[in-house]
Amino acid sequence: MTVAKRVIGLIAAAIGLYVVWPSVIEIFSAWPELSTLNPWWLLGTAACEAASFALLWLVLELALQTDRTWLVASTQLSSNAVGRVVPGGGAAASALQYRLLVRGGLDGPSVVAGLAATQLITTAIVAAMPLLSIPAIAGGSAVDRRLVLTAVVGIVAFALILAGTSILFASDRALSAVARAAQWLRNAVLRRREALRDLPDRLVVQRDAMLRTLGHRWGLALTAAGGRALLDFLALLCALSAVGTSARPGLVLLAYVSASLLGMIPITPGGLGFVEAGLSSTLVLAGVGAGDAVLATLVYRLASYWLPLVAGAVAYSGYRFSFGARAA
Amino acid sequence: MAIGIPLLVIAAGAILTWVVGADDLHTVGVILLVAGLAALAVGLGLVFTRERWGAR
Repeated sequence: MTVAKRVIGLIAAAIGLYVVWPSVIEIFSAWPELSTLNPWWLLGTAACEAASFALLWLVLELALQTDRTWLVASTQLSSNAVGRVVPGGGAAASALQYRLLVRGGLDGPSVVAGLAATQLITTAIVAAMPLLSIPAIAGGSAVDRRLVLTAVVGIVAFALILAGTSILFASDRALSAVARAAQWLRNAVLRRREALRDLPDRLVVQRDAMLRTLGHRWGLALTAAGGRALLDFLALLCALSAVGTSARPGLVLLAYVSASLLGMIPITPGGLGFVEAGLSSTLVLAGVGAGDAVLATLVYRLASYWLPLVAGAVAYSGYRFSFGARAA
Repeated sequence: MAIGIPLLVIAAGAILTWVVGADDLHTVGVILLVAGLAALAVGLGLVFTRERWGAR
C-alpha cells in the first residue's frame, strides 16, 4: 500500500514536472543575467526572506508553547527543505516536523495542535491578502480577469478558513467530530500501527491549552503571521526592483497570492515549475515585461525556495548535533 | 511592540518606495525599509531572548 502510494506520487510528480519543465528551463535560462542586477535589492530580497522565516519561528513558538527557538527553527527549516524535494511534500514535511519536535522533547499532542494552528493562521493570512488589492481592482483601471479571479479565490478561502476555525475553536462537538473522522482515517490507513482511540479528547484539551496560552498573546501571534506574509511579499517587490522594473503593487500582490496558492498544489515538490510558470505569467498580467518577469521570478524563487533548501540541510545537521543523542 | 512597530515602519517604507511615485519619497521609503528591517532584527532578538529567560 505504502509502496503503491509512493509510486503513484512519483508518477504524478514526473508528469507534473514534464508539463511544467519548459517553464523551469525558461526561468533558469535567465541565470547569466543575475550578475547585471542591483546587488542592494538582491540583498533586500534575501533579508526580507530571512526575516519572514524568523517571524514564522515566532508564530511556531507561540503556538507550540515553547521557548526553544533553536529546536523550532532547526526543525522548521529541516522539514521545509524535505517538503520541497519530496512529491506531495506538505504532508511529509508536517510529519517530519512532528517527529523532530517530539524527539527534541516536546509533547506530541501539543505539537499536533500547535502545527495545525500555525498552518491555519499562516494560510488564512495569505488568503486574506487579496483584500488589500480591492482598492487596485475597484480603482477603475483595467485589471486582467485572471487576477480578479485570484482575488476572489483568496477571499473565499479566507472566509471558509475563518468560519471553520471559529467553529472548531468555539464548539467541542465540532472539533470532536473532525478528530473522530481524522482518527478513523488514520487507523484505516495505518492498520499495522497501534490504533488511536483518544484523539478527540486529546485535541479538545490541547485546543483549550493553546487558547489559554495564546489568550493574552494572540495579538503577537497574529502580528508575526501577518509580518511573515508581508515580508515574503516584499521579497518579491525587492526582486522586481533588483531587475529594475516596477508594477502596481496591488496587482503584484495578486500575482504573489496566486503563486502562493500554486505552491500548495501537491503534485511537484514545493510547487516546483507550477510556481515558476504561474508567477512569471501573473507578473506579466500585472504589467511587468515578459523578460523582467522571468528574471524577477528567478530571483524570488532563489531566495524563497532554493536558499531555504540549503539552509534546511545545514539546520538538520545542527539538529542532529544538538539532539542527536535523544533522536537516536 | 518589539515587532509591531518595526513592521509598521517597514510597511510605511514599502508604501513610499513602491506605491508613491515621487523620487525624494522613494529615498525616504528605502531608508525606512532598511531601518525597519534592522529594528525588526533587534526586536526579534529581544522577543526570543525574553521568551527564553522570562519563562524562568
